[in-house]
Amino acid sequence: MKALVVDDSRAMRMVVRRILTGVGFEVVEAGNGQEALAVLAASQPVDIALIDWNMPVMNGLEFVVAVRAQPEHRNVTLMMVTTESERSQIVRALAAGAHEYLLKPFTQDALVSKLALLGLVRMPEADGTEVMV
Amino acid sequence: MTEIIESAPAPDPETLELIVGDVFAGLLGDVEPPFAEGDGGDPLPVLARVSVTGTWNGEVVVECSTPLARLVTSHLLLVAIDELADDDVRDVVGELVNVIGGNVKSVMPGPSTMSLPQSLLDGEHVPGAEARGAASAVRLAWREEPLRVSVFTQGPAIDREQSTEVGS
Repeated sequence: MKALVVDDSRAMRMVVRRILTGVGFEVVEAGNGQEALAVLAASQPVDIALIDWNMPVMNGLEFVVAVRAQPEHRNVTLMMVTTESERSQIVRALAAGAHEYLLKPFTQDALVSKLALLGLVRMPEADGTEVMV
Repeated sequence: MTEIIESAPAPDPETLELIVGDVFAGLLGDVEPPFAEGDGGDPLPVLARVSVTGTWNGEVVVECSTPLARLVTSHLLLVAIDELADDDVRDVVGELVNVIGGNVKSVMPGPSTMSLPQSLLDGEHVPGAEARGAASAVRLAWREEPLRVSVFTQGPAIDREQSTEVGS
């Protein structure tokens, strides 16, 4: 499976990449929504995009709207990973086409649990490892 | 008629300390949280800030020592301290204030929007210039290095009629 991590912080991209590769994902990255659209087009198939909200050039919500306007990307699962916690903003993101929402700061377990809820990994085994579906 | 404008609220220092602890745990994994260190007022050379505008208007500022900034960056990126680039440190301190600021915003009245973070390293600003009467602040230490989180308020974003009602 392939994941696209969209965050203007290289450090956050590294943190998320480390977790995702640990559960078997191939990871591609982008520093804002506009870059992410180009990476998405060049990196098919992408199974999930994990998207920060507050980014320069094109923010996460604008990216979600842009992706959902492109039928060729209809199978990409979209997860917001952001500090934006206002209910109205969460509703906007979900209404625009995001499937899941994870608030920063998050733990590795929280991210993996979200991936499991989306059916992209199995819940952790007794020994703490996660297995790709 | 006397106009009474209620001052904008800010999270108390205990809440700030909890937020910082959660952020350190989330970003750095299983590490000890920073602990409160009292009121040491030394200027700190690394600064990052975000501003919030909307129902609540304010600014969240993180200041820390250069060693702390590099230590956190090293932990987060898994890169040796002496191999870090300034841009790495700038990025990590910016993300630190971004996540702390987002969590401060989440406990204040909304809706509001938060700016992108601004990070300034040693030599890029005048340390201590930010000390202008924070509404709330907490000074912490992590691995014996200082960190201060301050919240500045810019008054409530409510119109004159509403403000009068608040005070009546």
